[in-house]
Amino acid sequence: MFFIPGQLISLATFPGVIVHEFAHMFFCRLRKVAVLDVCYFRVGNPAGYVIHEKTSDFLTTFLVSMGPFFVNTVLCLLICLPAYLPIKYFNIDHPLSFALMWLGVSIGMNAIPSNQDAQNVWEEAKVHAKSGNVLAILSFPIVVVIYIFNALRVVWADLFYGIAIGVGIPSLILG
Amino acid sequence: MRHVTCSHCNRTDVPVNESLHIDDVVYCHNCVNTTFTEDQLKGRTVVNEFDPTVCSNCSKDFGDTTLEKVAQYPMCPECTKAIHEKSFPTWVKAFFIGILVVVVFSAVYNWRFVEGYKEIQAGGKAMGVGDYKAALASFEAAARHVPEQKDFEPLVHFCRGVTFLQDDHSAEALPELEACLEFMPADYNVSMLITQAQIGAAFDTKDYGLFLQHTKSFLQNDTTQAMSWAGVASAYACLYATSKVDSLKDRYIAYRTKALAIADSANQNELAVYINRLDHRIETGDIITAKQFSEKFPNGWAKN
Repeated sequence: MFFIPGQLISLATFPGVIVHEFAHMFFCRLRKVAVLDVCYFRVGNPAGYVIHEKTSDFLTTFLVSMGPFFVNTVLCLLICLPAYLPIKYFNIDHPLSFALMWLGVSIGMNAIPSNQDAQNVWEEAKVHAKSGNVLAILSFPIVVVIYIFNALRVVWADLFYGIAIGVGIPSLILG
Repeated sequence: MRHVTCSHCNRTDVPVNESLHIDDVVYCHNCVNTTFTEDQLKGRTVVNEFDPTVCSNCSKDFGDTTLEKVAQYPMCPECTKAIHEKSFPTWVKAFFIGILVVVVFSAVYNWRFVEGYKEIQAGGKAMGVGDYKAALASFEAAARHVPEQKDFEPLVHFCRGVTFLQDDHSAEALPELEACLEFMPADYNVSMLITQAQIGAAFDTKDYGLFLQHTKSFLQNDTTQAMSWAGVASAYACLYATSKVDSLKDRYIAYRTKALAIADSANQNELAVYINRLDHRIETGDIITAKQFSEKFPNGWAKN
């Protein structure tokens, strides 16, 4: 493993950062959550952010925080699945296929919610789990996984996730 | 606008938005900057109070009117409306539309590979059940969809060759099978199929000497199959039918006997029909194909 500054990674995977923040913003708009500030991409830490009001509705908190996970993962798969076919199955190394793979994997790499997103879900889940909210109860292990994942970013967990979705799943599907 | 008194410099007209609560003590920004270093603030509770009469977004002063809050921020009705209606900037909309276009493009551009992949799978399945015509159609379609992939060509030649063989077009099968010989794995038995095609082609051209040569070559490759022995018997039957040399008939009988002796239950019926045709050939001198024979004698031939 070798260290590459996060800003360089963000630059290399900027489409994923923009899609990640887009997904947060999209779910804020969908659930009518006020957005106080938003940055879709910048060279800095964090590379993007959406500052929104708190909401007492757990589903809203969950969707706004976890939105990028679903949006980025689905887009990664949709772009990579057809692009991977000529590379893997037909041994055709067309630059366009690799460009699509880069785009897909870079979006997949930015799928995992941040620790701040996880904390938002955790705080709300603690309240709503008491009233038997199933989604809130299920959120606890999800949040733990997110924390672990984010801790493992130093060993390229985000890259591995992007590759797992963009390359691993197509490999499984195509056999 | 509301004011507070700085507990450090005792200034009484400090705007709320320019004050901080440090461990519940009010300081103006000036005093915070001159009194505390960053390290000194560590571990203390620092709270930034918001003046409820000043909009946090546009900084407009609403006098004594207390504003509604968005999150913890007091906000005027215009800013509240603007924040709730905050939409995506044009470039972000364009970017996301671009991503969706790429998704569609990726699917459309690579669709021929998806088709090719499905056709190869279908071709493989068809080959697995011995349906070489269907396999040929699938592999030809795959080759059309992915012309830059040359690996299908041997498969196409192989399936076409086997299909020709199955349809008794041995002469046409021969070049197809020869074209794929060096590319196909050994377990496809292309050499054996080539010999079969050579046998058929020799029979079709009535070159019975060559027919005998190829059937013997086939037998050398596999002496355990009854049909291998019957093939040589067939060649001798043809030679006898055209020359009436008794020694050829003797040889026919020898190979026929061996074939019947090693026949197993799996190919007994097939062999019986084949031998029936050869016996007819020996008796009548009439050399006809399997198709002609079955049409002429649908219930088999019997010596009167």
